[in-house]
This record gives sequence, C-alpha cells and structure tokens, in this order.
Amino acid sequence: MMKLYYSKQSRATRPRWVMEELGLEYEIVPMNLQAGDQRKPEFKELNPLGQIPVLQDHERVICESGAICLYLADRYRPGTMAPALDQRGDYYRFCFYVYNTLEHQLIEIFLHTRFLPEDQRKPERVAQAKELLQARLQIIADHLATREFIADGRFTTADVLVGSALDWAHMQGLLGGFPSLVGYVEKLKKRPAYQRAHETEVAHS
Amino acid sequence: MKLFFAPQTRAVSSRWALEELAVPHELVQLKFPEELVHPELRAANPLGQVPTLVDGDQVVTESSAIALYLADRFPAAGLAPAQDRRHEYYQWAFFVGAAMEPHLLEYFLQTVRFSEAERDSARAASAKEKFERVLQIVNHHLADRQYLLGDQFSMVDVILGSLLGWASMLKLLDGFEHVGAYYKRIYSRPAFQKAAA
Ligand SMILES: N[C@@H](CCC(=O)N[C@@H](CS)C(=O)NCC(=O)O)C(=O)O
Ligand SMILES: N[C@@H](CCC(=O)N[C@@H](CS)C(=O)NCC(=O)O)C(=O)O
Repeated sequence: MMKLYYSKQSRATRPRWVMEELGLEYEIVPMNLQAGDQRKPEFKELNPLGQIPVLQDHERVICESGAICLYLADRYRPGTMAPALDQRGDYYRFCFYVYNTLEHQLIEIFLHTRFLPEDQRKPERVAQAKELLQARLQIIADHLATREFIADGRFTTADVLVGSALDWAHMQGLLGGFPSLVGYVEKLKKRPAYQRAHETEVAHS
Repeated sequence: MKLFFAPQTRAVSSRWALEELAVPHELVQLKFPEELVHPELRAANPLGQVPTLVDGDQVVTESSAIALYLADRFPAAGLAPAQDRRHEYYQWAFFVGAAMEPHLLEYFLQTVRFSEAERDSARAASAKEKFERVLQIVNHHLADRQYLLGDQFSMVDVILGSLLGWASMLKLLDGFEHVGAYYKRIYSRPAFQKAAA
C-alpha cells in the first residue's frame, strides 16, 4: 500500500486530498514536526531536505507536494484529475504559479506575522509582501471570473493546489479584497474528499 | 506561437525549450525591465513578467510550466517520460523552483541587484550556504547519471540547466564536480547556446 509521510495542517494535506479524490488506498505515517521526526536519519534517507510530504509508492519515493499530486493524477485513473497531455496550458501554469509565484508572498507574511520569534519579525517585509500579493491574487480572480475551475472546464489537481494555497491565505485573513476567491475556496471545501483529507490521522483502508 | 522574452532572465529557459523542440515561433525581444510595460505582454499577463508564452488562445506563464507544456504539446521529441512514470520528472521540476531558486534569488539580490547600501551581507551568506546545501543533493544525484533522469536528456534538464546558468554566473558551481560536468554537458547543446546568446 502507498505510504504518505504526513502531518496535519501542512502541505501533506494536498496529496492526501488527491488520493481521496481518486479513491486510493493509502497508509498515513504521522510525523511529529515539533518533535523533529523529519530530521531523523531514516527519514532523511527518503528526503534529504527533511521535509514532508513524502510519498512511497512501492519502490518509488517522491518528494515535493506539487510533484506528488501531479504524479498521482497521471499514474492512477489517468484522466480523472488531469487534462489530456496536449491540453495542459492552464493546468501546468497554475500548478507552478502556486509554488513559484503566489506562495513566496504567503510564506513571507506567515514568517513575519506568526512563525518567527517576535523580535525577528519585520513589519516592512509584511507590508511589501501584502502589496505584491494583491496583483498575484488578482491573476487567479481574473482567470476564475469566466470559469468555474482552473483548467479543462472541470475539477482537476490544479484546483487542489490553487485551492489549498488560497485556503491558507484565507486562514491568514489575506483574501479580504477577493470575495470571489473566498467563494471558490468555500465551494472546494464542501467536497467530501477535501473533508476526508482533513480528518484525523487514521489509516484508511 | 509567441514568446515574450528578455535575455538573461528566466525566459532563457522557455526559448531553450522551443529550440530543443525546433518549434517555429515568434520571439518578442524585450529589454529587462524597462520594456516589460509592452501592452501585448500586459494583456496576456498583467504581472508583466517574462517568460510569457502565447499559443493561439492559450496563455502560459511560469518558466517551469512552459517547459512541461511544450514537452507534452510536442511529444515526438521524447522530452517527457510516459504518463505513468513521471515521479522523478515532476519531482525535479518542483524541486528546482521550491528548494533551489529562492536561495539563489536571495543571493543575487543581496550581491548584485540591490544597491550597495541596501545589501545585507549576513543574508547573502546565509542564502549561499542554503543554496550550497541543496546543490550538494543535486551533485550527489548526478554522480552516476548523465542527466537528471539517467541516460536521457529530458525537459527537466532544461529547467535545472537554466537555473545553473544563473548560478554559474554568480560563481556558485565551483567545487561541485558532478554538477560542473553536467552543466558543461548541457551547455554545449546548440539549443541552449542559441537561447543564452
Ligand atoms: N516544497 C516543499 C515544501 C515542504 C515543506 O516545507 N514542508 C514543511 C511542512 S509544510 C516541513 O516539512 N517542515 C519541516 C522542517 O522544515 O523542518 C513541498 O511542497 O513539499
Ligand atoms: N516564477 C516565474 C518568475 C518570472 C519572473 O519573475 N520573471 C522576471 C524576469 S526573470 C520578470 O519578468 N520580472 C519583472 C517583474 O516582476 O516585474 C517564472 O519562473 O517564470
């Protein structure tokens, strides 16, 4: 059975959501990040960066949450969660947009408002990131103004990635000026697979 | 197909991908950053960033997305693995942007882009150290491989190679033997030469 190295409220919920959408069987390996499970040598054999999620699918080991999601969508029940190979412009565009453009600001804001010790937080960096974030959220709002989903006219893995990042932005109170994006996130969160993926860490069978 | 391009930016990657696939295309050459106000670029991508690819009515942004999109759009070249064997392919595609690029960008800003007064040498040193730690992982991976996926060049080599081109200008590849040999191997490809010219 596939194994997902996982902690709740982390990027590991993204591949878990995809596995739930696909109806796959998997085992959750709970990781206690506070206790430093991710820095143990046996885990660093799987991911030398010492980060979750990691997916073990028989002899295959895959790191990077975005990569795991795209892999699953192509490997299992192909076509269910991903467009045809020659129709992937919006799909790839927004999957990478999440990681290589949008999340840079979300991470910066998170670090300097919550994560770092108070004396290391830099309010000017938060202000700058928030300003950049507006234009970057606007790109997604414009794209969704004429569409219900990100790619292919239907729900795909791109919605899992964009939706998860926007969900995080919403939790940080950053979607204020974008009611349509709040509506999009709320709609995705009603999906049974989203809800199952955010349940407690019990193994599914 | 039309590529909004500027030399010595992330757009080199997309031009390289087009050249590898020998796709006929129109190159809209812009000077970075002053010409990024180009109205047609802004209409396609309001962020005004390069690369931006326009393929009929499909707009694709994000250098890594453009590379993967083109590999799948022109499958005959064989630059993407079969659909059920894409674990390493996707992993490297995301790894470059998520684990490597932020440190390289920070180092570039703190040593080149910012004015001397704005530079923070502690941040530069920390970025260099983090980048080198990740580069060590890549170096180890390449010790017994010609390319990221093994014996065969693929589109993720375009993604990594473009980033290494940038790192090499900043002299960050010194001392990484296998990365150095790999970079030489891919740098000699005519498609890369043309894109980086
Ligand atoms: N780019 C990676 C980032 C992974 C990441 O940052 N994981 C965090 C949890 S969301 C982690 O494992 N942090 C533990 C640590 O860095 O010590 C991905 O998307 O999978
Ligand atoms: N994540 C994007 C980043 C694109 C990007 O930042 N491009 C730069 C040139 S290297 C740019 O156009 N900057 C102009 C701006 O942001 O205004 C990618 O990989 O394509």
